[in-house]
Amino acid sequence: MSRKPVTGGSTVVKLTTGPTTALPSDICPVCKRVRYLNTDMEFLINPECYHPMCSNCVNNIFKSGPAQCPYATCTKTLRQRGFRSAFFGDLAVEREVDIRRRVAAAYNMVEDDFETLRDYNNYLQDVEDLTFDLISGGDDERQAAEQKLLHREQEFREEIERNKRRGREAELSRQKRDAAEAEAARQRRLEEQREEALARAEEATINAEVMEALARGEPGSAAEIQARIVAQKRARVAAISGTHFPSLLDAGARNSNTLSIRGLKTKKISDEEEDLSKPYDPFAGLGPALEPSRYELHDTYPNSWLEPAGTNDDHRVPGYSISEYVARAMFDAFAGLGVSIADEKKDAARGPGTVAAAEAAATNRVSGRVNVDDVFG
Amino acid sequence: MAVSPLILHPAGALQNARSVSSPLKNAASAQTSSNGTPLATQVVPNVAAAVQSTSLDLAEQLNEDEKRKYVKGKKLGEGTYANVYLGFLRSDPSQLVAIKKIKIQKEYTEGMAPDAVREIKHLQELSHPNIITLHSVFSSKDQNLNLVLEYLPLGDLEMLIHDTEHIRYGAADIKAWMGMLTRAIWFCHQNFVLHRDIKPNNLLIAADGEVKLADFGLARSFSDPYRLMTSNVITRWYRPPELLFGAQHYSGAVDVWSVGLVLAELVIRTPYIAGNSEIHQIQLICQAVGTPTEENWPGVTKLPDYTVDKEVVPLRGRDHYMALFGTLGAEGVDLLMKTLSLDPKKRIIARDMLKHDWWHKDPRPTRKQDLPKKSGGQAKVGDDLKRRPGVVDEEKGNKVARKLDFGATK
Repeated sequence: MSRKPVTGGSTVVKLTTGPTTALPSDICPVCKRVRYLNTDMEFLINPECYHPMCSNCVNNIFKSGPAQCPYATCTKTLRQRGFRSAFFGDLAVEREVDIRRRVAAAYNMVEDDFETLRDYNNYLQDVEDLTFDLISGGDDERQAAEQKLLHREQEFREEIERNKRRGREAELSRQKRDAAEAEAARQRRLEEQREEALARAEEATINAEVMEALARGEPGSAAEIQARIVAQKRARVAAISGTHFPSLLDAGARNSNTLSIRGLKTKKISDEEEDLSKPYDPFAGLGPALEPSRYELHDTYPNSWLEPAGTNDDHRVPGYSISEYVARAMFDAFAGLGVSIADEKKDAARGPGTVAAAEAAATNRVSGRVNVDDVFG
Repeated sequence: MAVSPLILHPAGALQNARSVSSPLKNAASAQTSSNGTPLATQVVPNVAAAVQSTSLDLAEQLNEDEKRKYVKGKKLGEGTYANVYLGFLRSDPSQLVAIKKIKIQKEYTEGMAPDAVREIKHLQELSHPNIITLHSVFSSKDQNLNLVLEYLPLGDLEMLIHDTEHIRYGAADIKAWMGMLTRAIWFCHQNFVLHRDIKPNNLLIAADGEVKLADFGLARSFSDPYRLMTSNVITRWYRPPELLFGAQHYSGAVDVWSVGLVLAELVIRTPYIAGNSEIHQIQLICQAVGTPTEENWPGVTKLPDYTVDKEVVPLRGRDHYMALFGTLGAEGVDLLMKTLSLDPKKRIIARDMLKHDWWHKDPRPTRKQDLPKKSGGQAKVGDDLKRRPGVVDEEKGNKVARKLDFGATK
């Protein structure tokens, strides 16, 4: 159902780079300095191998340039720039979080990109498998997963960027929405306070009234108002929305080299997407439609009446074009052949110009008052 | 038309009333439907029109119906040639239109003004996204001609070109605008229409950013051989050399020259060849492009009004254009040079312009909705439509203070 079984049967998350995964607290494993003597001791790690050492060691070993990790079995070459303090006490967690961050940055598609929820879940499952291989797979698996991740990062750079941008936009709009919500909540709170004050004032009067009523001998109204306020508060608390966590379903088949992602939505053919994905057509789609389709236009049509027009200076010099004339004559001769009554009817019902232009104009019509009176009278 | 129930004579009214239940009425209605003429009284939507219809013949009735489809609103502009009003569809007030009311002109007291005829004749045939749509034509009282045109609220290209203070645009925007203009011209030529008045302020901008070619007041269809055309067309600054030399047989190449100059103007944001007179215009063309001679244009000296300065300017080379129009890139300059060829036979044709490499080179033309726009062009659309065709707006030429119009700044 969930994780792929790790080859070898072990399900223990082991840090492949060292025996211990906990960040040392008192003794630096490299220089054996003790916190007791160095109260400001700080342990740093390098995401290359996650071997902790104190900041002193980092300074001493890597100040003069890249050097090998001082751990006995580790062959990684580290740089001082790569060192940072770990966020988590457990370095295995630290490493897992780093890997997950990297994978999430590369596989950053959202549910809207997929046709069905199942496709999305399969995608999540595949990504999770890949992540798991990276975190706790054997050497081969890690290698393969690393390859896939690199492939994704390089081949789909543009798509990743686009998704990231979209994510940022969504984040921005979310922030805006949150701000609006906070403002609304503030207003609500104020309103509540006012109401409460009102209620309290009322209550005070009610008390007096109750006293009065009691004096007159008609009890009961104070309890009623109390009940009303309690009911209002209950209603406000009730309006809390829950987030939903997409659950992981069964894994689909994967192909060997790259992570195959199925069920992606075919891109919506909105105007802008369409414009940018296709090469620019200077004819705007009308190119072939306006060429003669029912006859063939020759270069020359021998005709004794036409010939002088091609040779006379008054026609030839200013560029009078016989081919234009011939094209027109041919068109006129054969124009009737292409007439379809149904098409003509469609044309006859043409609305005001380009539909989009008319719509845009209609939305802007606030400018300028229009006299409704008929000026033709 | 044989039986016209529209004309009711007062004397016949009583007789008509009596015959309501008689079989005579049925016979009459059967006859009208049999010859396909609908009863006009059935078409008329309201009582007022029905009353009016008593004195109208069928043509007038149709005109009346057409007229009643639109409601004329506020005046957008007034000129010597036409007034332009904002209007909308009576059935759907959100559909705006511009109604161009042609003024009666002193020169043409009998019949209609030729420019109006030209405009109607060609616009009703041409239906293309980059050409202004003519929805309808009707006449109002005093036989005034009204053209119902597409409402294009965002002004014209000239406004954008010359508003160097507020409008910034780049090579991609120029390419997008030129694409739309070239498509419009190609479509006209493909349908055998010469526009003959291409200039930036005849290129109106629709609310969605689409550029639309307007003002077909000088348009005509391609001429037959041996049939003269006037050479006195196209606003001077955009007029090609063959017309300046008085040629009377020409081709679509005249429009292409204008398109080339619009392209040049889009880049340098001032008219490229702006002569004060026709002679001056020729001189400027000689300086900007080169002197037309027998070598670069065989036979040019035989044209009726061929006059050039004594000193011959050689044809300008590519580097000259690169220096001025380098922002277009090498391909753009190549296209510009081909449109500004002196010899119209060597000038590129509209279809080949669209096949040019420039369109496929970087930068890609801007999407129309992202093109720079200017708001408040309502007064301007009035200006554009009312102008007399083929005339430079004198107001702008000599920098006279314009009439203050506070309505436009809203």
